[in-house]
Amino acid sequence: MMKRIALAALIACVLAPSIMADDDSSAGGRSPWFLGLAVSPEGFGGDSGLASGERLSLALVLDPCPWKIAVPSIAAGLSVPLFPWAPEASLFEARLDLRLFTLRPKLLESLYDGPAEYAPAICASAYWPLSGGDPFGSIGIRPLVFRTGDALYSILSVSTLVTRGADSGAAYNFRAFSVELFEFTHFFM
Amino acid sequence: MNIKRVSIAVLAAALAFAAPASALDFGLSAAAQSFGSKDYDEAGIRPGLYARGGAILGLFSRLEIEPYAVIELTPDPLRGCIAGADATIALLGSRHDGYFNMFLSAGYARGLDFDDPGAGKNYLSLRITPLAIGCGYYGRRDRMFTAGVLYELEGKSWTFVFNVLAFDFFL
Repeated sequence: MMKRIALAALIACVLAPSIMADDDSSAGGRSPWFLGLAVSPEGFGGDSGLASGERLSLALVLDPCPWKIAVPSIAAGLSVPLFPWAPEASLFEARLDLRLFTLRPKLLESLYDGPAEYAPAICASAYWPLSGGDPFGSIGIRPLVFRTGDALYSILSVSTLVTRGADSGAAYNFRAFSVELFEFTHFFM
Repeated sequence: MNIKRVSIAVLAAALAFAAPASALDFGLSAAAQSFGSKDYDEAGIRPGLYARGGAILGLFSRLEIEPYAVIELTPDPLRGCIAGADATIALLGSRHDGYFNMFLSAGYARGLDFDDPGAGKNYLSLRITPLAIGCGYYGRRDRMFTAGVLYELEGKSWTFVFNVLAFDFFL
């Protein structure tokens, strides 16, 4: 039984992209690239309890679904305090993005001078401090996401941190936030 | 006195490198800006995530002026701000059609404290961009790995500045 379910899941994974894919994918910004490396400067604010400096986030991104709507991608990587340099306060981050829909505005293509797509996203992350301490999460929006062939750009993403509310009596606290100035993902596979 | 001499030297160097442009050109710039300092309090800059936005005014084929503002995004959005202007010289060729280039920038900046407008500190800046790809001819330019220093005039302290990437769009 398990074997059949696994086989059905595998077939669904293989067929789903081709069923939901854009018909004229060769003309658009879509590409066969699905595994990339992301770099982004980011910072935390509010009552986060984290160092207030600038962090550099490096992550591997898996973006396997060439769909037009509800496009999921996952990322895993490290967020390292860069200025001031404090690697002992690094965080491991796992993130799930969901690009809600895909548009191909003419203005964007003329600015980029090639096929380009606009795909705003929502995201959820989990963080684990490498030095120990409680893990925490975040939920956020990525309003400016652009896909251009083998690259994915995200500009000014904002998230609210979700921490356990042990001291306040509430189950969870939303008193801190993170800002990602931009994220540049270069796909190499 | 020293500042005056430095300013004159920068201006002289800029004019020496400059060649008449066929026309003025104009662009907009956006970048991430990082500050590194041994003593952030003394430098008058708080550790955080900063964004830089500017306007590029191409005066000559090798010289451009860039007024800019650097704003704090975290930990307190828009609380800290630095405004200034750079004179930038293209070292490897014309800004208009040299696809690869290297830039040297010098300028003045002032910290803006919205709570106490008179308390902002004054800085001289010197930065080098080792690699720029694109130019006005193509309408886009990416300046990479720009590094330099801010010299705070009153406290005589140095702050390292770094822009991993600056996106320039020419109109």
